[in-house]
Amino acid sequence: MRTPRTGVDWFLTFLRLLLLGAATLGVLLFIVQQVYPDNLITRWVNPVSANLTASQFKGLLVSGLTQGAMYGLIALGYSMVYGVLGFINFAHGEVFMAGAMTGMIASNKLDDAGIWESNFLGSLAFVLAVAVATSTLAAIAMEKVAYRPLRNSPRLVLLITSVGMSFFIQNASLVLLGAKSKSYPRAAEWLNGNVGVIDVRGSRLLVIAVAGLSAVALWWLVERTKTGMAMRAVAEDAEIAALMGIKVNRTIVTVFAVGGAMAGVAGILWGLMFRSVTHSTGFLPGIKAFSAAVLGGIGHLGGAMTGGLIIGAAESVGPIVFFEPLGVQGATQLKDAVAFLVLVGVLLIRPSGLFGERLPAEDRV
Amino acid sequence: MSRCKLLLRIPMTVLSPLLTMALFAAACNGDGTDDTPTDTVGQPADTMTEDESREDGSENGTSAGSDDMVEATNIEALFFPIFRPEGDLIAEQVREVSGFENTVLLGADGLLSDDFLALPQSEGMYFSGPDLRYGSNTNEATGKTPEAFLVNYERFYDESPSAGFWGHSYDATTILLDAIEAASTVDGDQRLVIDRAGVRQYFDELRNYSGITGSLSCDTFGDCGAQKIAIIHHTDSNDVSASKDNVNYEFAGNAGVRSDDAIQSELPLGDGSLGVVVVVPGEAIQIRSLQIISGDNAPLGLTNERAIRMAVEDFGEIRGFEVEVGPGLDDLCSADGGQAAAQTIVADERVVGVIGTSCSGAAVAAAPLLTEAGITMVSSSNTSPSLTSDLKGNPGENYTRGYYRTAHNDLFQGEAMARFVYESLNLKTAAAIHDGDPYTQGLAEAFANAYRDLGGEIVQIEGISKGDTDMVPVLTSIAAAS
Repeated sequence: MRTPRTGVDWFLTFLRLLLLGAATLGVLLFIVQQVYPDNLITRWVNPVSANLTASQFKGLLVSGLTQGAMYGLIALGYSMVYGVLGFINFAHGEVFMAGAMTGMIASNKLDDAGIWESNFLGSLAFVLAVAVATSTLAAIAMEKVAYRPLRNSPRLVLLITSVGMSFFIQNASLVLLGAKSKSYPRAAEWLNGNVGVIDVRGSRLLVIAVAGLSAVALWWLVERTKTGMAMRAVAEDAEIAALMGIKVNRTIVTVFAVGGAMAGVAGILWGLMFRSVTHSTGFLPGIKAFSAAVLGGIGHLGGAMTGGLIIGAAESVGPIVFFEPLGVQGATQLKDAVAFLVLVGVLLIRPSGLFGERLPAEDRV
Repeated sequence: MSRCKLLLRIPMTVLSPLLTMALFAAACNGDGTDDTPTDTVGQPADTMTEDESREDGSENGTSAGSDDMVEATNIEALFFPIFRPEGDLIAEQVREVSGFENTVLLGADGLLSDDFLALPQSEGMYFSGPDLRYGSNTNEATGKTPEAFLVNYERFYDESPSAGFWGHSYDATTILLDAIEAASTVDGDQRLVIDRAGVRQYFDELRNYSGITGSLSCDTFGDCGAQKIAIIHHTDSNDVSASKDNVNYEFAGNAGVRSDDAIQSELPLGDGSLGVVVVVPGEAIQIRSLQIISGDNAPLGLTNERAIRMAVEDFGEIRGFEVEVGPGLDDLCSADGGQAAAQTIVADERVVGVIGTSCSGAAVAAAPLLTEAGITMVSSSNTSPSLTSDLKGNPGENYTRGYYRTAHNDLFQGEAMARFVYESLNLKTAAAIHDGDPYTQGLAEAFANAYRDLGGEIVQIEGISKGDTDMVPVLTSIAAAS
């Protein structure tokens, strides 16, 4: 069903071309600059622009991917809840923060007792378990208290409620734990040093590995177990699923729990990586993860993880590859802008996200 | 299905250049670095401290990456005069970026709090800040020595001050109270009449006021501080107080344009041009404390606020009237916070003076509102040059009349750090990072300008955003620019 092109379509096409053009130009200039550092354009546009060595580029990419893996883990929660209930749970970033906070408390207690250093892996597993438990419980409680009573209300009501939940959890943490940023104890030495042939900091490898494992475990749960089948059935049509004997409420609780657990894992990885947590830690990663979920196609799990990795990598590499060759001053300050520009770019070309399905008109909110 | 093709093209357009890039970069590995000498370790060591810093650097640096050792580029010093928690993250992540293996890390008074010094990654850093060795200076209004102040502080609060501007806050408060005394009269109804313009006149004419921080004289644009800077070397995160005493370098600046002659105006001061505040018997003279008292930088503001209250108590009554500070206001270390607090203050017409703000970023928004209302604002820890002057007779872009400070001007702190790095540590290339705040940006630029004037090379001044966590991009950008 082709409709005639209107002015808006032309404008969108123009925007697409502009964005792609600018991105391509930036990348081309960057390549030229790497091969011939002393060329005319570079000297004219940005005389102080970066000339990266391989290991610097690798460092950028790896740091972006680590950050992206955390975004991806958080994005899974956004995506799952949207897939089943059809609303964006904006308080999900706070679930992540709750995990990071409890992890901080637990790891500091272990550190005080001297166990953190003597048995690092054991304490890490314990801290991970505590954080995952907290995040899971937080997500379940949130569903019970805030969302279940509103299950039959318009989705907009749920959305606003989730914003309120987000404020509530953030401020509860502020009151309970204070506004100072709290530190995780230093991770074991082998995590801080660079490891192996690839020469990447150990904790970054750990983050990527744990994120990968969690994502695989989630995929297995959703695609290969009965619980997962129930989730997919409820996502497809809750009423029919109920008629088939699936316990819808329990399934929805499971969805929140699993999403919360993923956020808890991300919280611990965050703590290991950046070592500092505050009550507002969940805000920006939450927004980025939401963008990642949308970029990947909201409701699609692989898409959420891919979206996280793309956003993470883009905000780390993007400023230096896209903006610096174009002569933008202080390009690295624009990393948040790059993350959202990538989102806008993808949505301009594919409005339902990378792996998203086009919804029929009556299902759109 | 053209959409599918497009869909494929997106990851390709994003990812394939990255992969190509990696290949290219691997192929032209030597381009950026081969022509520069790789021997940064072989600096002539003319001070003890330098040897120590080198050792620290190589301990923290990576040992496994033997390939990277060849690539070591030439950023010898990195100055990041920012706040927590971004400062924590830079100190933590700097060693994993190739090019920074042996870089000496430098911070400033914004990071110089006990909390930051207790972090393991801050070991080996140098910090510039106010020179706290006050010796036997005496505050002329209260007769208190630094020692007596510290004894009292520990008695009241069960700890020693956790940030460095307590002396400045004490002096700022006693000068303000002296000013109020000089600008006030008791009228026939036993009411105290304070001339707002007279309070400012007292500051303008202030010369060689003996305070805890030294001898204070105000220049034309409100810089009244003793301008003494010290640079300390932090070696052990388990022994913070030892590091604070470990002064490696000291610097004394001369305040800006002013005549040094003592001015003798007749009391009471003031021409009434800004109106008067009348205090009836039984009520108190109102001043306010506006400091950062929540969040990561609370140690700075809480210490200041406590010193203010102690000064008010030590000073006693003014012509039989008590002085009231009221509940401490919070500047949130941001323009928004400064503005909101200033609006609260100006709504109360009884307020004569404000001691604050803690942060230059808050002062930029608060100063116009407060001074417009006739209030005299005295800051004890704002250091941004933009709030006063460039010390050559030109007002800073955020200077407003009625603003004074007892803290140093960062042009001096920047120069002190630049001289220390260039002359004492003998490091010839440096980079700086700020976070867009007037304080951090002003200090980073002051350092860079002074360093260039000395003949050093500034590789890059880069900015981060408050709230950033991943510092690898900004560090890589600096490393690549060298």
